Amino acid sequence: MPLRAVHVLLLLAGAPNYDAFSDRDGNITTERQGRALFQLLQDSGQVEALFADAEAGNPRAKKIVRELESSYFPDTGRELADLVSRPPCLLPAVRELSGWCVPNWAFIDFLKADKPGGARLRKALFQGFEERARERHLENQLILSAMNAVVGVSVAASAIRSAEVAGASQSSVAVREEAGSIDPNKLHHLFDKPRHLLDDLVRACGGQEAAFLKIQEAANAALREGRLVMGPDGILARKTGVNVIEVEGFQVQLIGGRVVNGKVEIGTISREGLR
Amino acid sequence: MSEPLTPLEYDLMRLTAEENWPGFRLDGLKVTKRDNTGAGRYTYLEDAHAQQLVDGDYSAQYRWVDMDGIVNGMGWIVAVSDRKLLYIDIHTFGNITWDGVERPWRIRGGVALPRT
Repeated sequence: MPLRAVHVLLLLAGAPNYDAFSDRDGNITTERQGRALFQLLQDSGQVEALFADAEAGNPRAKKIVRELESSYFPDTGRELADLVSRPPCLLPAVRELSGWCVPNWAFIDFLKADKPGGARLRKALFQGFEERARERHLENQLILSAMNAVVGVSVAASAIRSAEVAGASQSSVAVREEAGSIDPNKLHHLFDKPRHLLDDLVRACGGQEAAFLKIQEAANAALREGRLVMGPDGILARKTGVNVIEVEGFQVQLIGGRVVNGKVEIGTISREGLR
Repeated sequence: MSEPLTPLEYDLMRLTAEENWPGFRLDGLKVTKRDNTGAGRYTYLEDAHAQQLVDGDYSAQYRWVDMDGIVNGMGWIVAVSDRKLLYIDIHTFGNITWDGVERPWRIRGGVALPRT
């Protein structure tokens, strides 16, 4: 088919105008691009075309989809959870009568739950909401209601089981299963740096892998309990004395890390300057 | 070994200096050693101007490196010890490997999109 004919077909199909909402590498850096992308999100056909392009390997589409799924929608979910967990909303009577303590999920009607792209963005939004809701100790019922509203009843049914697991204290066994095989490169990066002062902790835990699992478990517990300071992309704050966790009686600082899908992904750690 | 910083290393130093050390000069920085760990890199530094800094770990708050092929991106801290620059610790987040090749990257942080 001649190239010109392909372009005509794409135009008829409403192919996304990437130049309007991203630079040539797929980065959304200006407010104007952000507004254009927001406009695109209102059009289900464009959203699905964007996801189809990403699936087909279009690098700009892939980058934009990744931004939407890993940052924009989860962040929006977190902000919503923050809104509905403000102190007055924790009083049942106030919550029901306030008009704003129970999220009105109609604002995402433009994301079609029965379309692949829409469903994925709804899921990303809900994951952000759920993560922050659990940090804020919101009732399971509120979280499940949100799940039903955002991702649909069929997904909610299977997710209840994992929500129960997530809500419970995460055991080392669960962490171990999740961790699978720990990359030895990560262990080398963390533990073979003398300045990190981790040798005593490693000895107390019985080895680097065991120490890593304990640190991972303590980090996730601190996250659930709302004790970690992080930025808008889930990047942990990097300041002296911040994000210090207790592991087997030793203080450890998470000096580099990122929260992804409700779990702390450890970047680097140190005990320098700690007891 | 005394090599110039790579563009990535230079940008990380520039951002860290801008946020933490007003007036810091980058033009005297050289790399004395690179240790690619498979999950990041330690880049050891020397400073021809011997600028004095307060010991600690520094970075540019909430910024991260979005590099092609690295899921979740990477973070960094700059270590200062004995009042001197020691190294840049570039690290992946979680169980992700990095072979040390600086593929196309971009510094990210904050969100440019409007909120719903």
